[in-house]
Amino acid sequence: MNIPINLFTWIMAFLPIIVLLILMIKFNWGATEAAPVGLLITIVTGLFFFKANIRLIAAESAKGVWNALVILIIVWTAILMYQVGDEAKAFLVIRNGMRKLLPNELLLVLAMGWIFESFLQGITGFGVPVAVGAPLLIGIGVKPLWAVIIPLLGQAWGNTFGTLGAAWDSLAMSAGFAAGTKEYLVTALWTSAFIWFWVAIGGFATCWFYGKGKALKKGFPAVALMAVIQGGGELLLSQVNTTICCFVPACVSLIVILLLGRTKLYNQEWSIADSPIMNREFEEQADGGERLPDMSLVQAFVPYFLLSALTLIVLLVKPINALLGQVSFGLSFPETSTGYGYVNAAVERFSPFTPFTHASMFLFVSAIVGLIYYKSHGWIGEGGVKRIFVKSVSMTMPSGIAVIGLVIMSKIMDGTGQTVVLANGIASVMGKVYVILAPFVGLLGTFMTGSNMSSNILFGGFQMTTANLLKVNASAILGAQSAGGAIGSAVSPSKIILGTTTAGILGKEGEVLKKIIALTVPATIVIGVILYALVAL
Amino acid sequence: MEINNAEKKSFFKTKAGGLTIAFIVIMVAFVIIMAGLGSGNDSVCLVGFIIMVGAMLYSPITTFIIKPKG
Repeated sequence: MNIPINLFTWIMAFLPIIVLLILMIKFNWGATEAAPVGLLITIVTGLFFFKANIRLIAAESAKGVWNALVILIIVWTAILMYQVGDEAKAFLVIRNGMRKLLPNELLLVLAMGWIFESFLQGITGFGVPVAVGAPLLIGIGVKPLWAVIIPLLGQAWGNTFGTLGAAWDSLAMSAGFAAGTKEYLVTALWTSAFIWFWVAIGGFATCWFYGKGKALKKGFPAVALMAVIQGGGELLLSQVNTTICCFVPACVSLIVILLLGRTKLYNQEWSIADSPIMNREFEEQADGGERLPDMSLVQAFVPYFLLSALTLIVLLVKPINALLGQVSFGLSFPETSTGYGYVNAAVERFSPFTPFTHASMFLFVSAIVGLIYYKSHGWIGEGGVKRIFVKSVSMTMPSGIAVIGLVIMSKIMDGTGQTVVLANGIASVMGKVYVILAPFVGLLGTFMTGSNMSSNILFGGFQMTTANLLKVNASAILGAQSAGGAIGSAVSPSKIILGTTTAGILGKEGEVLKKIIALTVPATIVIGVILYALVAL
Repeated sequence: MEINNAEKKSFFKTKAGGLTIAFIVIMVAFVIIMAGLGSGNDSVCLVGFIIMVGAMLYSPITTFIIKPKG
């Protein structure tokens, strides 16, 4: 590769990202409008400043469409599952049932916006916790904007070791660590330690949003306990089994928060009347308006129980996983290269899609079984099935353009060498001070690609090389990369759009991003400063 | 039948409907690009790519150029 790494090429590589951020944050553009503009700039910089040819740009675009389609199948099935519950009025039952179990409104918000999302992230991921969590929070009276923000913050910690450790495996693969080796375990320890820090921030931030100091005081024991279970549990289990080290603490925390609701501290009705995140008018309407179906809380949760059981069985029972994993298909792409000699190797089967072990299949089966179950009990009336499918498709399509635009943008940046220039430029200019920015690079990777796993694939090798060049602890840098990547999942536009779609506030992605970025960027910088003090001073 | 037609017409006049059409066009462009890459024909790739970019720009153009807010 002969790409000149200088200020000009660095600015050109950074231009699409900065334009995307300005359009969304400063001008409040929705991702559907901002992503195509970012994409257009990426194409122009790729063609004219990184010497790409049309074949390379077209090939990377097609790879982007393929990856985006796989994401969109998850979006559609998650929305389908939501529509099934909505049509059967299951969310009203869940809201009322959870209110009885958790009379303390703050604990209810924490359970439905943080703990339940952690549980979903532990098994599914790919934005499902945000897509499913947002309507659940709206159901308990949270304002739509906050119903998107809270799950985004709540699910983030599970992005590295969640989805049964998919992103972690990609980090270990990028760094060349074999499972169980000393480097593998030490890196897992650093990663989980940094993530623990974010676990606590997610919980305390939710309390702060709900009712500032008063809510922080009330929620402190619960959040501290949950943070110890989730963050501490993950840290300990990361030394035993990285596949389940997020899922197990997430399940335990779900049980513990329900038990907390029975303790003296939280078993009384408690709420802050003028909480800025709650829509009190909505609650009055919902309380007086709709008739509840004759459905128990357990019955309302049937599709979610099924989702958990199905995911665990298929992903953890190896013979079943191997059998279902045999059906797989991917597209072949030819080798492409830029005028600077940046080569994208030919691939026989690019990003193979394995439908029967994919999260979308679990969601689809759970939604269909849930639909049959609700219908057999008479909770879905005439014309309900048609309404469910029509609404699910109508809600998915608008977010499709944004997801496709963002994924193509990241593919072209990667394929033309812009991503490498971006990362190398930062490292070569900053020297050891780069360590402070290591988690931010992870965040940037997830922001661009929409996935902690892709961020680790994109920057894992680079971070390791940089750490070795700078002669600092590579395990610690890799841990910061993945923790930053996990935090970055909260600001990833493709995840935000899942929430705004199911919350019915499509186009408000900029507002969501503005609020979350104020928390995530400082958090990654703090992790970076701690890292610098520990390994570079 | 008339009601269904009216519903279809009104849906495709909405933003969601327009984006649905744009999505379908992108899928068509995707197939054209794959055909171009498969046959090693850069002109076919270019046609598919231009169609795709055109469809991608549908939303910003309609929102900020054709029907700008206030």
